[in-house]
Amino acid sequence: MVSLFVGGAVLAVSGWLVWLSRGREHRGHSVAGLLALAALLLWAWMVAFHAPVERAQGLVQKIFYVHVPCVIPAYLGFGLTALAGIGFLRSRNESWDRLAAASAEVGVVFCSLILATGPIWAKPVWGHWWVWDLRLTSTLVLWFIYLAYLLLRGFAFGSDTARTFTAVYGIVGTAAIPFVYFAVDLARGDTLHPSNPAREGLPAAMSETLGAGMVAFVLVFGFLTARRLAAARLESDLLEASERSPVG
Amino acid sequence: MSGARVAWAVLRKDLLLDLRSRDRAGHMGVFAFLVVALLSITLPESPEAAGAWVPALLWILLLLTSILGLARSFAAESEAGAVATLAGVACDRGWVFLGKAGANLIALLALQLWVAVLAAVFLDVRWEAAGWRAAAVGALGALGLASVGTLLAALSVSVRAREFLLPVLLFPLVLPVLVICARLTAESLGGDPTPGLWWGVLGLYDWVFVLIGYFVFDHVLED
Amino acid sequence: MTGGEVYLAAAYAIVGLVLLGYAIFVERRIRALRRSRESSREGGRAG
Repeated sequence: MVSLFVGGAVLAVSGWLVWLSRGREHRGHSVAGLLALAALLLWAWMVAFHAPVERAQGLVQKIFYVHVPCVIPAYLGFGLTALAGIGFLRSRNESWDRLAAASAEVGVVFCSLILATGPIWAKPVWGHWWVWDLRLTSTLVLWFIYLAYLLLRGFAFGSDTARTFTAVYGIVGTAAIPFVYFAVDLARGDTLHPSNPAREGLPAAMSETLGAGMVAFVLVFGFLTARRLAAARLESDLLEASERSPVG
Repeated sequence: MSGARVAWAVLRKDLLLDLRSRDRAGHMGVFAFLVVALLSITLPESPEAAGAWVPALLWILLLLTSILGLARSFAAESEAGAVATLAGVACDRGWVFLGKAGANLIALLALQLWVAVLAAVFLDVRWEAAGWRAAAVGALGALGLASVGTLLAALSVSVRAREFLLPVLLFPLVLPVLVICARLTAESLGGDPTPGLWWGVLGLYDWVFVLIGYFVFDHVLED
Repeated sequence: MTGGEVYLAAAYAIVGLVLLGYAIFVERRIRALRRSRESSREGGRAG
């Protein structure tokens, strides 16, 4: 049930973003913003009052409800980046490039949040801020790949060649992710990080809160990416205008 | 001209340039020599303590040295304004990628041979214990580095600050090659059996990135 | 007091502040871009 909601939100948000990036006009931002805000409020209420305090870890366990939901927007952002890269290479349509730029940037924001909240939970529970295990290391490498992507965007800005190059790097970066995962597993096999299957045995109140967080964060991702898209649209409009009249 | 002939012409041209000017090979060789000398002085003296580190260090050395070569891999074309000539070939431009990557692969294999000799002399690495497996790891690792490296070198050639950008783009992507190759080298040097899965994943990585390079290069060399 | 509250508050505060900060950053960029578009249009008319 929970995964149905989350999957629906992911599909709806990515569809909306692709549709937005193709159109000339930007509509529905305020609706999306309000929706995201409402979902965030519901989630915050559930974290505070609906989810029980876990017996072994105490209050610290509630970091789980903000750490795990960040994962979906991060991967969604990187997935959209690769998808938009393929779209750009096939069609040469600049709108795909804007979608790639926006979703990569917002994806990096969420990936940073995963990396920030993880250690805050790990310190009181494991006793260390950081351990070099599978999840942590591969997430860090993922973050590096997309940071490099944003750097490449920053250095190569504006021309059609630059757009091609960033599209290629977005695709190559996404293709490398499974290999990174395998390699890090090889190097750091024994993991401390709680695994996915452990989540299936969660009490209903916990998994409902987690699901609400996932839906809320996917909506926040959608809203932020849409606004970032609007900024990218304005940027390319200005660039076009300055190319038409070099005096201005 | 057929595709294979284009690839061969590009490969031959790059290698001939390297042989004639000897710039690139000389820089890489001296750099590798220096780093191995530094390692042999810095590492602890007992061979058991050092031995555990050597495979990983050698692969990192190969990566760092290959950056020197890769950064120059499109320099001749871009200085002579000939990137458009490469793009103008009368066949699929993927073949240009194969030629370029092939030249880089051969340069990397030569570098590996050099590093292997240095490591045997200065770091007391016994390659004969590893046998053909060390050679196979070297070849598969070099193919991975060459394919991803050639593609990224082509991407960063026209970007400012490319000396800074190329390592930042390359390192996270080739991390899998580095980890798997270091592991395989260590296991084969120790005479331990090496799991087939590792070989399979390493081969798959090479295959995936050669394919991506082949298909994507058409766009990279446009205009 | 186990100190757990501090970690919990820190995690949620960081997420809140980063998301809010990013949203403000994007909104400011949009506003700045709109402004320069307006001014370039007026400049175009004047010219």
